[in-house]
Amino acid sequence: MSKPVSSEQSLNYKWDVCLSNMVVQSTVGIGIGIISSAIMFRRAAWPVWGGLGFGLGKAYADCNAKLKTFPAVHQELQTVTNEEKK
Amino acid sequence: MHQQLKTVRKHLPLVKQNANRSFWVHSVQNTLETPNVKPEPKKPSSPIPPTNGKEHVRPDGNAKGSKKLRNSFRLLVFLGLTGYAGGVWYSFEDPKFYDAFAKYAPFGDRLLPAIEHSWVGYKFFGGNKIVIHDKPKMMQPNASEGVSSDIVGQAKRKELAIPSELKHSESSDRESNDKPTTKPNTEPNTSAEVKENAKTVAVSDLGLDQETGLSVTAAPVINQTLQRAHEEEIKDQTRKVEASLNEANQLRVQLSHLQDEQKDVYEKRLNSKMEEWNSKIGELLAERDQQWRELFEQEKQLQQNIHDSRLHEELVRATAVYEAKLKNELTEQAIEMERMHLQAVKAQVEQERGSRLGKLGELRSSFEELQKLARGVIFDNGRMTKFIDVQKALEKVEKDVNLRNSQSLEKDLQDLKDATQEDQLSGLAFNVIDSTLQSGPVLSKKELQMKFDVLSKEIYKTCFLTVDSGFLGHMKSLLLSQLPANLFKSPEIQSVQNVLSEARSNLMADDYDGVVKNLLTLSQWSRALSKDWIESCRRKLELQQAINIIKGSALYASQMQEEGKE
Repeated sequence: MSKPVSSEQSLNYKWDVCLSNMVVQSTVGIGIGIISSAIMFRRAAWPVWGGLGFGLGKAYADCNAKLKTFPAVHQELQTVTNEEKK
Repeated sequence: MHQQLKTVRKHLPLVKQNANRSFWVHSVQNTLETPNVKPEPKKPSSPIPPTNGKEHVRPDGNAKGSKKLRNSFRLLVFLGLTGYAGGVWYSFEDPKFYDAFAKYAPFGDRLLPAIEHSWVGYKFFGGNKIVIHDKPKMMQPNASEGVSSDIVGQAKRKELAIPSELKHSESSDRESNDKPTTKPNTEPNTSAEVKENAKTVAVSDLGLDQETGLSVTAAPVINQTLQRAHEEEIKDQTRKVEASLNEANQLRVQLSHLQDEQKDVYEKRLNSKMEEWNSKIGELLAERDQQWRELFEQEKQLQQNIHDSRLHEELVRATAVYEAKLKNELTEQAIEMERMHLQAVKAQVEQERGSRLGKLGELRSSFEELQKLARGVIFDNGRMTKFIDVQKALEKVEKDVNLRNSQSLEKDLQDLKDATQEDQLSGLAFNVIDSTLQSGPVLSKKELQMKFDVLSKEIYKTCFLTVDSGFLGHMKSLLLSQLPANLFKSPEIQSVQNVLSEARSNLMADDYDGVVKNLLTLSQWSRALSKDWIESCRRKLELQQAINIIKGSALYASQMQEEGKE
């Protein structure tokens, strides 16, 4: 269950999303690099670094786009619990 | 001993035969001969030492290719050399080819003369086509015998040409000089006299020329032939020649005189012409100089005028710019002075307003105290019960809202509804309270203050952002916001800080309306971040206003009730 993000925490929330994206995408890039290195490039190191670079680059681009979105501070989908309703 | 040697020699071929037998035969023989003796273990042969170096693997294709190339190169060189040698040989056969070869063949002009003058040229190619002898023929010991048939023929021809009288005179001279023992022979002998004549007539070789190396032949003796020729004719001829020579000399002298005269005439004419042309050239040059000076003066005047006009334009422009600049400065000063005046006026107005507002605030607070006292008195007297009921219900509701006691809140709201059901305005205010409570939690003052502290920090972090700030802009803003605020003097950051401090002071004074107004002056990220806080503040304001409306309405209704009773 995800809590709604208050407006004063929206920027911090965006930063959290950026960092998590960075970690995830760099991991995916490294994974793809490892697989391609093992299959096609005879266990060379450069595909791993290339995958990492691609992942970090994509994460940077996504973060840049997210941080540039202004002015609407949209709230994430919230799941209202029975306790909050009460 | 001898027998032993014989046996050894006898068995030598057998030894050789044995040595040629195979390994297996030897091993079988050894085992049969010595069964109990183990054969010595075969020592491993020494390993083949590794050869350090490249393996010469010659692909056949490359070897063949290189051989072909080498052979073709050799053939080319050989053909070239033979062709060149053939050209050299043929150049000595054909003079035209000699010239062509010397001109066009490489090193031909140097090679051909070198060969020609060397022993090879003289031996094989004939050199300069001139016969060279070591000693002249006349100096040779057997000259008379060795005289060639050509020379003999020449002597015969010359002998026939000489008149007989001269011959006889010569012969008589010779007889008088010598001691004659023999009679003079009038008839020339074919062999002896011819030979003698040939001696005198023969072309005499003087030897090799030291410079050129060619053999030099002496010219035939002219005096002797002239003596034999007709003297009178010769004398006539000489006289004629002398006369012609004299005439030629005279003519030469005349020609030289004429030449001198003509030379003088031409020189005079040349000098006169030179003077004439020099004077003309001088006049032309003077005229041209005059024209050039005039043109120069005109051009100079023109350029001067252009320069003056440009200078004037530049001066005008510069003065206009300077005047505009001065004007701008004056207007800036005027604006500044007006602004200062306005600021002073504003400050004065604010001061007065503050004092008046302070007075108004005092009045309000004293009025509220008075109201409380009056209510207390009325309550004690048992009057305005309706208002008191409503007020009690409102206080309970407020308490439940502050404490977030949802269970009693419903009951208290119901009580409030019952108390305000008669009044329409109170009913509307109650609906507002109900909807506000349903839209979200209403924060207390402390909670609002705490949230505002968090909000102000977040707003300050976004002070350094622009409209299109991305990742790097946000990073920069985060880093700069960690530094003390006093370092930054830019008006934007200062304005944000002023707004936040003003809002805080309003919040401390419970002026939620003022806080909301201050926060609404912010823009961009600051405005977006303060959205939720403004919403919660508005909710609190709405609730408070609804409660005030209900209170006021209930008070009015009670007062009206009291007046009706009276």
